[in-house]
Amino acid sequence: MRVPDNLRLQLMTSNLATAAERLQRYQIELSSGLRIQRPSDDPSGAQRVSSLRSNLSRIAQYEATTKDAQAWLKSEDSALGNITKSLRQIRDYALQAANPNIAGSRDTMVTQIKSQAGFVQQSLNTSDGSRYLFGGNKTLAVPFKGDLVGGITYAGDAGVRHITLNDSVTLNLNHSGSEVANLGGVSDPALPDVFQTINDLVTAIQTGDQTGIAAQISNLDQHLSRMTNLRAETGVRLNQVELAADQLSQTKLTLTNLLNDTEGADLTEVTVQLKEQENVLQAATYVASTISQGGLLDWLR
Amino acid sequence: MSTFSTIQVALSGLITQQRAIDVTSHNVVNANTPGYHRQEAVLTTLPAIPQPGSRNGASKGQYGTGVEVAYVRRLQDMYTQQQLRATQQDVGYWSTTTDGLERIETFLAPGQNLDLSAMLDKFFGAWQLLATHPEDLSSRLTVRSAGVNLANTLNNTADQLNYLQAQIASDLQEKVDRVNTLADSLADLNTQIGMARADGNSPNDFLDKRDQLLQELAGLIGANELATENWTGITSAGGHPLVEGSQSFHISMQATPTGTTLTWDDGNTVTGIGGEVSSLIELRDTTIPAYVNRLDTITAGLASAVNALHATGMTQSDQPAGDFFTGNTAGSIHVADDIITDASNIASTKQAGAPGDGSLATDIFNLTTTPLIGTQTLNQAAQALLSQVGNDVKTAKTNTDTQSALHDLINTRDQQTGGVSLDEEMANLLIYQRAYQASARVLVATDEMIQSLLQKLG
Repeated sequence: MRVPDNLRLQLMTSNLATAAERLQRYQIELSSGLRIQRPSDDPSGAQRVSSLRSNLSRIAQYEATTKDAQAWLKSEDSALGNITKSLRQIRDYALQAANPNIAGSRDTMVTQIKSQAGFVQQSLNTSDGSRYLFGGNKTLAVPFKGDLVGGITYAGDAGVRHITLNDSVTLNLNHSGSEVANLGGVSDPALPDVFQTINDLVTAIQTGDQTGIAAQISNLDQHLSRMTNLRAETGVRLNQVELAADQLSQTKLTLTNLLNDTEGADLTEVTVQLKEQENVLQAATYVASTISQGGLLDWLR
Repeated sequence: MSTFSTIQVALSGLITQQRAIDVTSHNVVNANTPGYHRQEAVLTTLPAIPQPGSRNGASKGQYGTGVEVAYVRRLQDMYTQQQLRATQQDVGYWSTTTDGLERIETFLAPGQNLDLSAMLDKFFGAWQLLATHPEDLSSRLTVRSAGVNLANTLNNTADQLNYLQAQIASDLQEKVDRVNTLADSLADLNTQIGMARADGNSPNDFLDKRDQLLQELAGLIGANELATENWTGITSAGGHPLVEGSQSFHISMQATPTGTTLTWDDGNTVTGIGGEVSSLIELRDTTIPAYVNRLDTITAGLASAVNALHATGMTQSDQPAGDFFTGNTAGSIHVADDIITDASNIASTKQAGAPGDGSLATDIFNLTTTPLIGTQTLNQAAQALLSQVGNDVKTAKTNTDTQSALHDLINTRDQQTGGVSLDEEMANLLIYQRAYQASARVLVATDEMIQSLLQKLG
């Protein structure tokens, strides 16, 4: 076989170029830690990577939602706890008032009851800084306005706040003020609302109407049991959100591992390949340096 | 046979070896000339003359009269040249296609977290944020900026594709001009080759030049050579002669927004072409519009689905909301002007006076799992687009590699036959030099013979 000088040079150049190109490929892979730089490196892998990233980005969003929901539910629970506490106090005063022997300090009792009623109203106006928890969907306006004497009006609505916990589960986050206070009998038609009950109690105490006091104590009991139910419901929701958050972080871990497996470079393997390719390039360079030596021309002097 | 005829024989040796050295030196100096094939002086004996005999007129035998260069041979074969052209045509086609597709790939996949799929994620993620915090202006600002980024990404990609398309049209014009120039040069060469052959010469260097031009032409548009009886070449691109003998035909290009046509001088359409020109036409007329079309489909699906929901909503100031996006092609989509002016015009609810209701934002977020493009979600369609361009590039690369390897292989074969080996030329030089010296020695010997004869006689 004839080996013309040009051919040797051409082959050498193209081999050098190929070796250098491969080496660069491994260098990029190793320095970026990524197996897939462009979709053409692995089209189906690139599609998987993109889809995994998309899922991870959704999970990050869901995680933010669950954090927000947890904060909301905790505030709501503590607000409902405060309302319960105040209602219990009021019930205690009512029990005292129901005892005919302690008749002296009715006015004090009324004052105490009114001040507790103020606490109830305050708790119902709880805000998490930017949103009123019990305004239904009208979260930007103070929901319970006015006072016990002049009458308390509800500025919120019965709106329900839905939140999306993951691709399939949505949750009703809030209890509206009307539901908590049983305005218009929305949660128990036979029961007057909280402020009506307190007002009736105050009137009964002031007039010494023992039957009236007894009736309102029974109403307060019903309100307290409703509060317990509402808090239980909030607790269940909080559980659900925490469970969802756990699942999300679990899924995130799985997907992140999958993403690394798909687009990440196998560092050990690539390092070995890089070393090998470095040797190849070195050998090719050596060959290139010897290629012009030893021609017949050197001997013809 | 006279004494003096020996001088003639020796002289023919001197002249012939010198011609052979000429050929060798032509090889040496052209060792690096592109397209050059080595040449070889084919030596042959001069016609012998019979020596008349003393009896019966019968010849005593024939005496040689020396040596001459019969012709100068070019070391190449037509079949290899034809194969070189065929592979050059495929290399031209696939490498141009790869180049174009790789650019499209960069536009569609500019890097992690910058592609369309990532932008869609961010956009819908912002709606989920709004669903959780419908009261806040800040979540609306997030939705607006994610919307603007998404629209910009689509605009940029479409712009770059359109720019590439325009760029290709001007590349194409350049290539067609080059084809016409090559056609003229080939016609010229054919004339010169024809004249040289008429004189009985072998126009080796012209033939090399023509093979080289033909190979370039093959890479550009595809070409074939048909040898005819009078040894004037006909080269053809796509069936119609591009050059017929010393006459060349020109191609002109008409590029409209919808397509590119190539026509001959006589108005007929150029068909059956290959090489770079056919790749560029395909990229411009088919490949790029197909990608733009897919982007437009995704954009239209996005805009109509988001708008349909958004327009049923209420703005933060309890006014009926308008469209979120204007425009429904990748090049024209924008976030609506009133939203750009005031982010509170983004709706999160269908009810008036319910700032805490994010149900509409949730509905819009849920579009991420709704099949809007046929059976695919927006994200799936965007991911399929990535995978499509990835596959296209990969196929084109593989074909380029295969065709280049094949071309290199054939080129190696061509070089093995026709490449200049300096060792070989040096050896030949030695041989011819020695032969020249020997011929000169014969001349001297003959001269001495004649001299000694003249001295004795004198």
